Amino acid sequence: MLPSPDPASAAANGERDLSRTYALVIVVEALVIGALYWLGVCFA
Amino acid sequence: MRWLDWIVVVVYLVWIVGSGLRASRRTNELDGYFRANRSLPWWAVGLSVMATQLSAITLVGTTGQAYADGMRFVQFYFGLPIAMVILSIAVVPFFYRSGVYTAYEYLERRFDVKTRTLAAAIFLAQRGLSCGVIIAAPAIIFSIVLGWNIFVTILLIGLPTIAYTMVGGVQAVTWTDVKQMAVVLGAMVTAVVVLIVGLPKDVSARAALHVAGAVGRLQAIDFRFDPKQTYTIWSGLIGGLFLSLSYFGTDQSQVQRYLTAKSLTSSRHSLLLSAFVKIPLQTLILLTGVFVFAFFLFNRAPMLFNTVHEREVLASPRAAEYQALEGEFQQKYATRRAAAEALAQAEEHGPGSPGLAEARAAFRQADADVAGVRGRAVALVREISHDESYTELAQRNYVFPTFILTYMPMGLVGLMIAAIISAAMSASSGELNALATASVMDFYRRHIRPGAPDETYLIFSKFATAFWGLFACGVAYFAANLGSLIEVVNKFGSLFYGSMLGVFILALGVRRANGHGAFAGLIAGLVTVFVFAFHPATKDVSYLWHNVIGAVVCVVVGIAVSLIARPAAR
Repeated sequence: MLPSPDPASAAANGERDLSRTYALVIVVEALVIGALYWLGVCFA
Repeated sequence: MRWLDWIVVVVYLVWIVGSGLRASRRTNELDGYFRANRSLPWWAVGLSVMATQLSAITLVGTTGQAYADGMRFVQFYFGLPIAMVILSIAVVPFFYRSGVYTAYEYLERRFDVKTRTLAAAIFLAQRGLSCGVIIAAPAIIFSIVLGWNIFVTILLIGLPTIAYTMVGGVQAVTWTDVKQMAVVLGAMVTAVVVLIVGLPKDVSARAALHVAGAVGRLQAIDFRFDPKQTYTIWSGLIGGLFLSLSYFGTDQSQVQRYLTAKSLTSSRHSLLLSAFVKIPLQTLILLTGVFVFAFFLFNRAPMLFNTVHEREVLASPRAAEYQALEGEFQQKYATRRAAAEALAQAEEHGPGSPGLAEARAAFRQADADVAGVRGRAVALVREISHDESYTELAQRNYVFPTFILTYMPMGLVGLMIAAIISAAMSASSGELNALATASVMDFYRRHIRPGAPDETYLIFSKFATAFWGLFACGVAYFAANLGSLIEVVNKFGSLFYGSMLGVFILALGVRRANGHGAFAGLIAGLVTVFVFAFHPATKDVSYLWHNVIGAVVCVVVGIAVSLIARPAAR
């Protein structure tokens, strides 16, 4: 496998750690799917 | 369309082409033309990523899909946010830091020139054809609903797009995409408002949704694990994940978008914007279709939304049969309207109101009766016209345009037409720019004239844009009315996307993979998917699974061949 980006050089290049954003994406998706499920249950 | 609508459309076209051409002042160098000198803000790139995917087929086909089948199509996008996270972590850094112009250029660095060339050729063939379908879809609908010549409607969409893409390159594409997304969003919100205002005074939006829900229009999630069901939560999360990974990770029309961002973090942010926004946006578009369904319960609707053969049918010996069906439709429609009003009143009193269950049953029966008449009418028209593409499925594409032209106020009709044109232009401009980039970088510069000055490549890229634009217009002209258009585009893409994803998985994730393995894997994946898609025993399996099959076969064969065949010395 090709080497992953080096965290030290990434920080030196001003790249941000987006771990929290990634987690937020998954959480928001789960909430949106839940809302869609609720929509079907509520209006069925 | 009336005079104010024409003014709105003309103003839109002048505004968009003008702003696209203004961007050409900064694109007189190769890097500026293809990568915007890596200067674009993440939000503009993110909106461009979404606009490139959101074509007129999405606006017209998705609303029609929701009208006929409800919200289930939203599941198609469930894999997208997960794919964006994976791409941000694992793929974007390699593309961004490698300094490549195309995704396929990366394949040569990793493997060899034959893998690069094959992948780029597949991209050109597949994208060139799909760009034609993207232009064809709204053009055909405009020609039927507005009575315009099909050639004129194709050129109305194609020529302005070719003009600003050819002159302005990726910067023109991106900044016009931003404006076009604003037009589309504004138009969709406006449509929902008009639909809700158009309901009877004693029917609230909530009651209308309950009525639509009574016939399953709001059932968004399907938990069945049935490979033959196209849209389920599983096909969306798994099949849709692979489709999104391939489309956003390996298709040049999307890769080129995020290569223009200011930094790697900006590049990632541009993809993550879609991760947050795409599903809610699609929900809005689908809900618009559900509201169209509710609207047409209480407002006069045609028996058939696509009237292309009406004159022929009424002039045929079986005209009386058709008119009898029309009479029966009017009766059944009136019965359904009464049942819908009764159900809406019962829903207003809450879930425990007396007679609610009976009202729901009566409405469901009345809705089924209306659908039955429409089905017989479609079959009659197909028999008389001998047009095998005239199906109930194909009717869906004309529902939203019919609503726009029949019920929207003057001026707003022009806005909606502009939005549909916007969506077509934003999708096709990104594709034309990508086709030109791949033509120049992966073929002209790589094989035909390596080492020429940048001015030569810049001139060729403009000719390539014009060529692919006219090619797409030609494909659009010959494209037939192809059923639910959004399904056609996605089915066609799924024949190729999985295998392309497999090649990039080998490139990024399998150290021992070499050029022979990648090349063999790509071909094996394509052949397997084609056989699977058309073989009688497997052709009914949902096309979303083709992406998984192509990727898996490509990777497995790629690893196996790599272990056997040594790469040539470089």
